Amino acid sequence: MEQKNIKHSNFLNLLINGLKEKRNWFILSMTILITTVLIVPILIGSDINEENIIVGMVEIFIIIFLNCIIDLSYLHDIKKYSFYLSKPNSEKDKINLFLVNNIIFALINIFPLWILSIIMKFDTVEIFTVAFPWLIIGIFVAALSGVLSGNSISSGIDTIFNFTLPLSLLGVIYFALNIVEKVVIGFNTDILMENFINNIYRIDYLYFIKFVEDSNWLFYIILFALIPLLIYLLTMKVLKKRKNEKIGEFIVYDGYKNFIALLVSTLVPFLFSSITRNSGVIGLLLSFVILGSLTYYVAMAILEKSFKLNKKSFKLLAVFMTIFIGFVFVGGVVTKQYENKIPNINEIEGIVISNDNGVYIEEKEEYVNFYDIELSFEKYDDIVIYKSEEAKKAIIDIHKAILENDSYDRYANVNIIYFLKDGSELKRYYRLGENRYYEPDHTKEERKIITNNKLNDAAKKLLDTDEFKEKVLKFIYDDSYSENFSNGKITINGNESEFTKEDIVNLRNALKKDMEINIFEKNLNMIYVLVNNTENYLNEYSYNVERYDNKHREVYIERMDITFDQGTKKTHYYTIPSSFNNTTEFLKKFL
Amino acid sequence: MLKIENLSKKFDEFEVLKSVNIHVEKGQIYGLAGTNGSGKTTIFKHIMKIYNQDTGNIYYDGKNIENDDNYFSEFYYIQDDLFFPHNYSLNDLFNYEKMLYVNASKEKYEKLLKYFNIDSFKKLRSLSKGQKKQAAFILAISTCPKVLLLDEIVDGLDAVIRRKFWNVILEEVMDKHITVLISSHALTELDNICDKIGILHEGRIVKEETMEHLKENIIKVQFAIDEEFEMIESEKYNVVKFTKIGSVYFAILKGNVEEFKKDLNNKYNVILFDELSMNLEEIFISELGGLGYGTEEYKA
Repeated sequence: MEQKNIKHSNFLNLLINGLKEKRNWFILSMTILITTVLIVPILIGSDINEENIIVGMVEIFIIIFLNCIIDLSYLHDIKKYSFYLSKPNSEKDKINLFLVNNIIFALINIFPLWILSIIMKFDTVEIFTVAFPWLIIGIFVAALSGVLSGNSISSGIDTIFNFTLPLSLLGVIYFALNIVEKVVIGFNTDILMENFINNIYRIDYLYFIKFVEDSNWLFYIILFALIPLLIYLLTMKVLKKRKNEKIGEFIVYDGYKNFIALLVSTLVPFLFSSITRNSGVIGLLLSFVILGSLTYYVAMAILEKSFKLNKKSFKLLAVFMTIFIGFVFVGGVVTKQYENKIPNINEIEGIVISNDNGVYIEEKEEYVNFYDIELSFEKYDDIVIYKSEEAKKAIIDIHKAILENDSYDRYANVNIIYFLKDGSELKRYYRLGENRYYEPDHTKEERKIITNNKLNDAAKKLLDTDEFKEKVLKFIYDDSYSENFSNGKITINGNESEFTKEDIVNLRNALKKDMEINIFEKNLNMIYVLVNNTENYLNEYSYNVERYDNKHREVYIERMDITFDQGTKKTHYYTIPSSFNNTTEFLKKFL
Repeated sequence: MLKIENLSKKFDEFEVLKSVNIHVEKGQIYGLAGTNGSGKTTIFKHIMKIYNQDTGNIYYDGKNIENDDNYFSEFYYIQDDLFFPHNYSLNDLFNYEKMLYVNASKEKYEKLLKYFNIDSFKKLRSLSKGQKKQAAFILAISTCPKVLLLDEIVDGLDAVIRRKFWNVILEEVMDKHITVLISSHALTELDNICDKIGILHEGRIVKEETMEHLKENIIKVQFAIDEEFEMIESEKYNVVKFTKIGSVYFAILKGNVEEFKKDLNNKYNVILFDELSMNLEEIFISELGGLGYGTEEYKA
């Protein structure tokens, strides 16, 4: 009891002593900050702005990182360890001192930057929102890594490894799902990962990035307290069982060595598979087993400083690989059950179909990933959500055709999102072909794949719907949209001319006629143009359909822009194929 | 006071300590003598919880230290391989230790500085190896510990400084009744100062006895016989070692020396018989000789 009181009163003295020892570090860090954030920008005549604050923040990170490594070096030298730990200052006290000491030091360093930001009225809240917890949690991670490591260099590397561990784990999961993707048609790792990240594995909260847009400060504080607390408790747990006789080795925990080696043995095949993206399931699994085993052996040999590994390590690898492959297998089997699921038309509120992975929404001035599209996005001109019965039916038929015929080479994207009436969503992703199939040297077999009748028939049905014409080819078919436009400008291949309301009517009529003759009345391979919801629909047509039909591409006008300013500026641009006789005839006067 | 019971430790597959038992009484100077790599330092590090034992317990004042850190303020450990914080002078370090040890005495510190004649303002890293040991010793005594653990502290020091060390230790033991656990290869000096000795070999305590008892139980005799001699045997004594130099025989005996003398006289015409006291070094060599760690002669 007496001793506890002694320790309590000692803590403050030891803390002050520790901070005094950081005096030189503080002088150094302030000198660096003042030089790089203030003096150098002034000398080179540039303004002091938010970027300088970021530079200062990076410098603080480096300084704190170095301080942590130095302060924790007593854990990595048996002489130092014996000196400090044989005193009435327990391991726990020493770690507590380290944490408080470095947190105070970090605050002292960050404070001038914060003051500067306020004085200069910089918008740096976002920087501090993320950087501040990173810095503090980084100190806790450094303590945990210091305890786990046997020497200071590995402690530094381990700190970075542990700080990025949530991301590495994500990589492992991504790799597993990536293999599942190869087995199940319509399954997309990106979609699943997105769902996983958005709903379960909230890495954006974990790294405090979410709070930049979502200012839920109560949750921020709770999380900021909870994460260090968990790391601290883990550190204390590990500290109790630390094998100090292994000081000097890379890692003092046998189990942790295996954990690192196993993680690396998954990440390396993952990185290799990302380079060779076209590998199949067997190839991926084989590369995982062979490359993973090799990586594991090398990693363990480095960590153990020996080429001879014990049997336990190999057993662990075998168990891990079995679990991983089992996870992939079970994942594949489970997901395969949903492969052919298409919702009933009565359940569907709306559908988006596209072969782009994302859409630039002009009104939002933002590029949105396809799988982030929500039902509410129908208000934007750039997003087409089909709601008519005929369009829904046509898309379902397209989906069925894709599922029924697995002879497609899955390279080009067809992305579909079903927005269901119960509020849920069903997202599917298919790869049907790649641009290389449009090259003139295509074999007949390849063309046959592309001109699958069932798919084309379904696509043509969608093309024939009023909803498609009015929403996708808005300028040409949506009268209520285009009738409001008065004079504007037309730019053909870079030459600008005035464009009257009468010209608009004539151009729209000419385009309508040509569309009917060249597209809607022909039974062409439509799928590749059908799902392109962008303005440049005709460009797709000229590149894909016409080129395929005629074996070579004939373009009358490469780029035609029509701009109107009706309060808000609207621009439509097209590529006019030479087969569009009515349109080319009309446009002659502008050339 | 300090009791180590069945302490065992493995470093990976290598068994460093094998069921070690040590009993140190209050105010005792306990010498831990052992062969190189026998585990002396490992025992110290277990007492200071630097290493965790695989099995066994350590008790201080009857309490198991496993879940009790309070004893740290009463112990001071000087390790064989010294360390001092970078850029610290002896004064800086004393001030640091004053924060940790409530009983640390400035008066004693200054007295010891004078006694050892050490520059307390000089950076510790610039001191010689011997001076560093003195500095560590000054700090240890200044904190007024109840138990002092000294790992090969006098090894490598000159005779004068060694004598000073022993003087201080003896004075502290007599005056403050401190307990000292000391490991050293300087067995002659341990012989002079220790109350009890533990001999450690290959991780095992092969002998633990008070010096008095140890010397009573093992004795060296020299005798001369004017006829052909063959060593006698009995259950009442055990001849550990037997050599002949010139016409004189030397034997190290365990057990009843009087019985040996009687048997010898009964069988041979003994011209000369003397009992010689054995020093610790001889006992150490003799004990370990029986365990295959002998001092066989080297022939080129």
